[in-house]
Amino acid sequence: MAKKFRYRDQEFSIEKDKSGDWVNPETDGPSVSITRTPGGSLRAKSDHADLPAYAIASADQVWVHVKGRAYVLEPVQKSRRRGKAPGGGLTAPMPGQVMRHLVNVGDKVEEGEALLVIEAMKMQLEIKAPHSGTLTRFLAEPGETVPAGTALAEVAPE
Amino acid sequence: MIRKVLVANRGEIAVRVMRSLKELGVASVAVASEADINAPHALAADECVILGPAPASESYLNTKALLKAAKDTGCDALHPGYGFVSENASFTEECEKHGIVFIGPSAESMRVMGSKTASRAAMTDAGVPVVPGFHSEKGSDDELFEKAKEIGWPILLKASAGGGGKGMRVVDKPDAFASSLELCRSEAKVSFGDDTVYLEKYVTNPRHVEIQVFGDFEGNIFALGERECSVQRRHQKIIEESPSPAVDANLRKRMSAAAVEAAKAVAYKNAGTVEFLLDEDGSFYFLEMNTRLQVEHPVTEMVYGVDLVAAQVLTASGKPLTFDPKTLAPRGHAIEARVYAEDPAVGFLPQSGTVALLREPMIPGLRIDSGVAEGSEVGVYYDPMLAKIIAWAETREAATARLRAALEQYVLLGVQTNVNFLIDVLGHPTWESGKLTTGFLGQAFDPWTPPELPLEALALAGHAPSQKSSTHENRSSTQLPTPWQEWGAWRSLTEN
Repeated sequence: MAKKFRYRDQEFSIEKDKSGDWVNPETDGPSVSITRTPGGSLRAKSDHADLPAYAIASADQVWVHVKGRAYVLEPVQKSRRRGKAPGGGLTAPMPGQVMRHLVNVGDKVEEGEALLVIEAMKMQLEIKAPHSGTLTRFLAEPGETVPAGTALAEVAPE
Repeated sequence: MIRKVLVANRGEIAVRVMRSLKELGVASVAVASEADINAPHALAADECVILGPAPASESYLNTKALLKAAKDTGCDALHPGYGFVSENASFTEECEKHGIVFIGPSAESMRVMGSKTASRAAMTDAGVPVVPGFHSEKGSDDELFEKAKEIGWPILLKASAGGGGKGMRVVDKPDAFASSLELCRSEAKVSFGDDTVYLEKYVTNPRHVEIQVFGDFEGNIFALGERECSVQRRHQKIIEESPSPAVDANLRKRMSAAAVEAAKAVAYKNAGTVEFLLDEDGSFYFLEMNTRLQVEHPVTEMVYGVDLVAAQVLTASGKPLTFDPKTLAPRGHAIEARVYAEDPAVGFLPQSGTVALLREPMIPGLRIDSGVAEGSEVGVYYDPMLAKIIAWAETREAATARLRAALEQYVLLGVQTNVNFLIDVLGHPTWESGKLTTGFLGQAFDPWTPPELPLEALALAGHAPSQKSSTHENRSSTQLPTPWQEWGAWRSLTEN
């Protein structure tokens, strides 16, 4: 069965053929075999080359390094769209500390209006309303440290 | 000789300072915030003192805790690294008061060079070229206009109280002057509560070139060549080299002489850097002096074959240097690339996470100054620079090739970094031509496109064992994972 991954907002499929090599199921293209040396290192082998490779996986990301570049992929079935929290809210684009709220709960806000300020590593970023509406609640208070992707506030559309 | 040094910093620079101390046979004491207890710098010293909670204001900037740590551990000196307390003049005086030698310049040199107006005045007196301009507390609009005409167009209007690019405005021609001045004044008033504005000649397409200077224990001041630092994104240097492709022997001599004059004007002692704007026509202007060791000092060390940290410690000990500055000559070419935890594809936003896998290349002529190791947690509290990769070779072309090869073999997984971006910068025709300006990155990579996904990468992802759904997305927003919780979630493919 084909496995699906997202890289740079695009989906890619890969599956094993009869010989156990990896191929793109949508094209009749080349194949790659992934093997392990007795020492435990990974190799990516194609018709043209036999290359050192590195890979490591967490639950929602796969990190690989091959041909001199690093790539982060997300398995498709598990990844939820980033930046969309439940309730049409908005999320932290980077990990950081919430510095201050710029509006109050219940305020009418315009699309693009700055709602709060988040700071990480000397950099301050304003989090803006994705659409006009009413700010129904804040999900993180000033002083709180949040990971990337955390829902920060909710704006109910008009 | 100094016997024991408190290294008042973290990350790669703390590790780098400790390496030199070890070589000199000087004991070292690390300091760490509660977030850094297992960080490489905390483990690299002979002892480690926990300063306080993670925020820098409660740990690495906490001067009381630093002094107490130095006294409690019996240190007779303190090395500040760069950033944090390195340019805090009152702190250096506090140290001296408690009998702890501050490895750096005097508080007085620091104060003069730390002030825009005082340093400009001191440089003008010393005959060091400064950007032509007009600085006056009470310059009227008419007076400013007359001065602008004298200096010539384009003109840069700057808020006196401003900084970091805020409250700056370029005026190309006389008829735009009045309206720009009004806007600049109101911006300055709103942002800084002070509408004082000053004028400067606007240097089009400038380079940023700096000179390494050093004042030894007897007061002899000498220069150690230049560093080209024009490759910047948002005023942040990311690639530096020595020598500069724009500096020939004659210009080097003139810039070095000016830098030495600048340092002499404040009786400078120990390592420092004089930054200049270099114009297309070869004229150069004093920008500022950094009264500390610079991030990019390794490129100078590699072309001159010296250890600047060892020189700092010897000087602070009142000892002569191990080299004679008169016989020093640069050899070959060195380039440094800074590895940052950031995503260059999305506005260089800082990234956090755990360094799940790290493989550093071993190549002749290569040096890696790193502040992270496998398992290191990259948090949100500090500067996102993780490591510096420095390549030396006989020529600029060879050093570029070596650095690119090193970056392609530098494997860091688990935290997004700018390494793919750095590789592209070093492959860009403008880099190859050496015709660098501070505008280069903004013009050449707006936006930057990450590499296409090769089939090999996809096959590796397919090979990865599937994971049970984690609690990652449901994690409480109030706490960050500890490194070991996060670490437990990683599956290395080599352990299958």
